[in-house]
Amino acid sequence: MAHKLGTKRNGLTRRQLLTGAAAFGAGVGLIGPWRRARAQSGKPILIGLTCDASGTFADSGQADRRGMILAIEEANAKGGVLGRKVEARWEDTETDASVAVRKAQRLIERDRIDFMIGALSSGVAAPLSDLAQRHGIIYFNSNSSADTVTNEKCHRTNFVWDANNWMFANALGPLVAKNLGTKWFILTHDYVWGKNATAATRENMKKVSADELGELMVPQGTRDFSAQLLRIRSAKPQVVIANVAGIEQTALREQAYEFGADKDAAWVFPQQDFPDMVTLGPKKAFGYFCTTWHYTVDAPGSKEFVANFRKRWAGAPIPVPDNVSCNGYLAMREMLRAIERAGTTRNHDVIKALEGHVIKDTFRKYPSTIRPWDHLVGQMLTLAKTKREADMKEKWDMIEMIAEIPPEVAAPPQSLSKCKMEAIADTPVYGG
Amino acid sequence: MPDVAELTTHLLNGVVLGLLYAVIALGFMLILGTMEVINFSHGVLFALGGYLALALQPHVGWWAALVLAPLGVGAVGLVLELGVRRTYGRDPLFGLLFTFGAALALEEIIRIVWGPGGYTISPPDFVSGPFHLGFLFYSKYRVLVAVLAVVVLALVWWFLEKTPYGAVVKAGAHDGEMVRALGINLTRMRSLVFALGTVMAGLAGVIAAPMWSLKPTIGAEAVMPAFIVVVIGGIGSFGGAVLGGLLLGMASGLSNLVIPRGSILVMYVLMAVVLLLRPRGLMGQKSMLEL
Amino acid sequence: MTAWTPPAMLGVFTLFLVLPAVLPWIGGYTYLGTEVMIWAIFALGYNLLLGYTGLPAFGHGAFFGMAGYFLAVSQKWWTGGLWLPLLIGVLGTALCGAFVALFVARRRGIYFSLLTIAFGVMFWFLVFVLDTWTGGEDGLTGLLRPAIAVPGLGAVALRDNLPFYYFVYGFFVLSTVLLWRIVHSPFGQVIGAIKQSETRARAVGYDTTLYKGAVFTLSCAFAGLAGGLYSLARFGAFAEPMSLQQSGNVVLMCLIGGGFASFYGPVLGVAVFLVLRDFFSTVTDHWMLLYGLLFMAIILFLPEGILGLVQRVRRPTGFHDTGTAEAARAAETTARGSKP
Repeated sequence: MAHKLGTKRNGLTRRQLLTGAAAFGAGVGLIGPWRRARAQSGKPILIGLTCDASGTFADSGQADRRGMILAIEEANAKGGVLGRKVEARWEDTETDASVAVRKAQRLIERDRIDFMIGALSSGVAAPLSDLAQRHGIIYFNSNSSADTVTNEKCHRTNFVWDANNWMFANALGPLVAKNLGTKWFILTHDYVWGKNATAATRENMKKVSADELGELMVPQGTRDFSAQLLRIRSAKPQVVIANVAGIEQTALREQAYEFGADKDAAWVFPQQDFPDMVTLGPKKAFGYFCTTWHYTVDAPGSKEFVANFRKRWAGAPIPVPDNVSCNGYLAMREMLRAIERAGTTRNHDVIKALEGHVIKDTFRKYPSTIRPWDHLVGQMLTLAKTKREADMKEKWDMIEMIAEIPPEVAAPPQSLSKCKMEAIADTPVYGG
Repeated sequence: MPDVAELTTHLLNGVVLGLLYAVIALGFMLILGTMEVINFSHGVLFALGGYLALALQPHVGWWAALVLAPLGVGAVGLVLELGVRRTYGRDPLFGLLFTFGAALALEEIIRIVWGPGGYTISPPDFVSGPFHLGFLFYSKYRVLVAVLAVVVLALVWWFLEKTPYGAVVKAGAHDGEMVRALGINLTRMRSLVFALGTVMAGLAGVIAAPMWSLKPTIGAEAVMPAFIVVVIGGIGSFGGAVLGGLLLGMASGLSNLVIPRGSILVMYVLMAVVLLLRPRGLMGQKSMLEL
Repeated sequence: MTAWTPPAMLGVFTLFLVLPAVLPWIGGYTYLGTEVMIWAIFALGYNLLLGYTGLPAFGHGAFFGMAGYFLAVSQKWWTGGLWLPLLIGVLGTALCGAFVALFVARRRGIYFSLLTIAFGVMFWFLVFVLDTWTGGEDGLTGLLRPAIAVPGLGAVALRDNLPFYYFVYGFFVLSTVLLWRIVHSPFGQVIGAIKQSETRARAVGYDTTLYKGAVFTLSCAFAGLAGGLYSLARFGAFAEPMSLQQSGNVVLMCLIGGGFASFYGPVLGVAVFLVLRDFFSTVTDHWMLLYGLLFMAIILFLPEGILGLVQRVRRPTGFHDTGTAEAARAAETTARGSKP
């Protein structure tokens, strides 16, 4: 076969190089016009939203975002913050740590956001808070229940708004032991979060004198729970503590229901976000859990908040606020209020305005406090269970609140804290 | 210490899983064997089958959806094939990449239409819940899954072995030119085979959905076992796909009993072992793919 | 005899040298440039396998990802520092590459692809199984970028984006030159011959399995370097690049740019890909749809990639680089000539 000796073997011709460079430049230049030129005065305050729209936490990520956007819109309706408009820049973190880091980097470097908020998965929250601290940008974990971000991985610029594994385990423990039984069986989702949750469960079991009848791991990707369900049936516990999340939890519930195992014991799911319950429906979302809030809670400000949310998000997949969107809303609102209090966007001042602050209008019985030593927002928890279908007034009315745990009891005491935060002086200055 | 009930459950699970894997793998292998295309979108078509069933069930009922949803997937397959056909005869990488792109696009379309969240599908009422067999509780639905899988496998076997068209399909895999010379429209045959493969993927998706629930990402999980089954069983062999599927299912089911963590890795170890001992797979025949 | 750094290569180097100054004007940012160079190292090494030897490996993301873990584990719990973990990242990945090569080097075509896919996914799962070491879903964070001693400048801190960019730049230059030499060495000629026709190369007397294994391992070594740098860039090692979907990225990068047609194809492909990804995801939530469609369109209409189109060389069958056709002939001549 004859081959044409057309091109030089050892490289591009000049034409090719120029074409290549032009293509490169054109490609990169495409971004140019889309980058907004910023006026020097009265420029908006940019908040970066790191919320998932795909991956395991997609539903919750969007609920989170809806809460945040509502808070931003309400602030703008009142004239903005420090006289400036608040704008959101959202990036889909895809429930993936690596993607989240990449996109957060982009938000900080290219879009020059002033503050950052979001994260559901512990895997996303931790590296993003590392990143935020490196730059000095204030980051609110609106809905991640990782324990590490308020302990070993705590940072001066990071604030955590959801309850964590320790809190769920400790809130549930006494109530479960008292009302449901002390013979427990544990299902552990076999990855970092699940193992941490079970560690918290075990620690709590000692306090409430509960007995562990057995533990089974649920590897990621498990679709078949017949083994676990059979073992549970033969062990005959009074309570099953299921530290299982995501799609595995959905499959577990499906099969437990299918096998009739949901009647074998009282099932407790320490972690339960409302969007996942909607997916399952009342029959399959059986069991007890701990939550921070639901829209049926009757407390000052709650009804108004719910009405505003329903109006704003009428067509959304979940048009009522839930624990996730409420956290998102409160976190965003408090960030803006703190900026207002500090009188500047300079991070050191805003941090000082946040630490120790007590939030009274939390739409529930007790106020929450932003604890200065670990930046965890100490809040109340409620033991709840799924309503029977017959008792539900509408599709979203799935939760029945059973018992309250006030914040002082729910949140971990300072003595247990493993947090060694950077001093404010050691945190890079950002904003202002 | 696992008792008899647990062991039996795992074994049964392994069989059910294995049959399902066999169905998935067979569709994949049909396309691979006949057109030498690695159809990466096989997994997402599996998912699509489940989603279409979800959409159709409220209107036509479970059984009609079982038939219609795979046909819908087959239609998508026909459209896809229009693009894939341009990669025939080239480096297999191109077919793979094209279907890879299609898989991404289709997954996103599923996300756009049905949202990123999950859905659960209930099995039809008469197979809902467990049945008791002495010491054993087993899911009725899984028995149905096994039955349906066997029926599908039998139908495909009958088609390939006992019908003249099936013979043509098998011939086409080995000698496209000859098939054409015999006056058979090779292009049309390839379209239909591709569609058949995708129909099987969709069907498996409909069947599996009540067991595994639906999320846009389940496709990726379904396509990997298909690869492994084909490698283990051998390309171009019906028996290989079934045997490979069963082996994989059993391995997975049993390792769940012993080392739950490693049940996924067991698949790969099995594959590596088979490849070392029988490079063409357990029942593989020499095909054009070896060049 | 080809030069060490042909003019085109110098042009590319100059472009990247001044890029940080140019980027903010065109809506880019330094970190993007760093990412482009890192992926370019990966893609250039990978193209050795894909474009030059004709071996369609489809699970290479696993090697890119595992390097990060090797580096992270070394830095956190073993040696600390910067250079040693980086080296361990390269060596560890190359070792794993050699291991996989044992299985795959004997194969080609579809079987080769299938196997590389399977191994790629296997490594991905391993990361989650070994989550006490790797951090599993959370990744292994808390990496440091310690300052390095640069002769003449003293200690240079790498924490900020700009100095790190130039740190990576050094490796980029090194890798490009090295790969260029490899491609234009006798070794490079043999692998080109293998791409043309493995049977013929074997008939001429080369142990093709050995060469294929060597190329595979080499490409993994470069992936190891890139992966290590990537984990430093993000201060953490994550499993994401190891997934099957992400492994497709590097293939697409090589294809878009024209890896079958030109040595520089991968670099261009990386740039286009990363820029487009940035662009798409700001424009729409559903950029994965566009991405998938792009993939399909490239395969259908532009399998030669941009540089291939630019070169406009007509291919009789398949995708042979005319350069490697020459190489095949040269290899045969050499082999024939060396026989008594």
